[in-house]
Amino acid sequence: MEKKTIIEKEIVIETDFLKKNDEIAERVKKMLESQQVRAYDIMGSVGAGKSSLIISLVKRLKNEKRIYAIAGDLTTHIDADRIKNAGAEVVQINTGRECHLNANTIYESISRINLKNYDLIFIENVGNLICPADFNLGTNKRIVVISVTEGPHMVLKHPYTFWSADIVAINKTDLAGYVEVDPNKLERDLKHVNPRAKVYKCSCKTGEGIENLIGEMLK
Amino acid sequence: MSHGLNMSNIIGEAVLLQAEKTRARYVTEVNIELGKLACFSRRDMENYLLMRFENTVAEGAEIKVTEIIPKILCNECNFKGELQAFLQNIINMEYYRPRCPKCESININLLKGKECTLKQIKIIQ
Repeated sequence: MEKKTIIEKEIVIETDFLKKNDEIAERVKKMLESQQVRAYDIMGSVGAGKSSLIISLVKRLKNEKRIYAIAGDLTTHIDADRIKNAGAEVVQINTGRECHLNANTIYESISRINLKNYDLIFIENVGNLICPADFNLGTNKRIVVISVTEGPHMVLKHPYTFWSADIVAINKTDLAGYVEVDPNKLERDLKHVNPRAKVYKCSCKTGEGIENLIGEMLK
Repeated sequence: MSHGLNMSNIIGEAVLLQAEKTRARYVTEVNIELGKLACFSRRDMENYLLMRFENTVAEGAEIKVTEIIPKILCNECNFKGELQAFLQNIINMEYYRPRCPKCESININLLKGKECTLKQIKIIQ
């Protein structure tokens, strides 16, 4: 009777799968730097005003800067169409069931364009205040958009996303009185969670505060 | 799809690929290091992997997930060490706003605590 030999083995792998994203993000950063392109990762909940902010920025900057936008969404191209209508070149990334963009999607996206043709890239992340924060995209700055219509506790309920922000735009301030949410309270919460972040109150609809925000972004 | 599931799928695929390469008859153990600041929980990782390994050579493998306490270097006071708050399994603001335990600065570099590392597997050939 044939005897089967049993061999037990330990196989060392040592692969950090989350670090892979950071490695690709570093590659993206170098590509952008080499062509002097500035990129912004714009995060926020669904309905906070990420697309509206990009549209405001495009309308104000399109005559002096060459702008490309990447719109991340689960399934539609609604945002990409709106941004295109405002005057920017745009590509839509549909993530299907994925709740965030990652560095590889950005790497693939910018590899398909000639970066020499652009000065600014706005990346609209998937509407979600949790997951996108964990995935560095290799951009110059992270901007989180929050609106007063989301209620008074959004910052403290989602601190991690705000902790990673360079700039926070408190949007829809024109509606603050109607929804009885004090933008100053949101600002205080932001200072508690992330004292480093620059906070700007604005309304993409009325245009209030947008110029100051642009000034900070382009610094 | 949560990225916990996505990441577990990636790890599951890596385990099964190694098993195939090494002609494993069974995978008996999978060792993973998961930072406490990684974007998904140990419980999710274990559960998703159990599902991924069903009807494969890794079905029944012991999945060992070691949680890594975040370690920082403070850029203000040069403190280097673990964030003791993470030793307790209480989710509080420290989870989202880690700071130096010595001078309370948030101007810190995270040295450990966000990893999701497939360390090694044990197989039977």
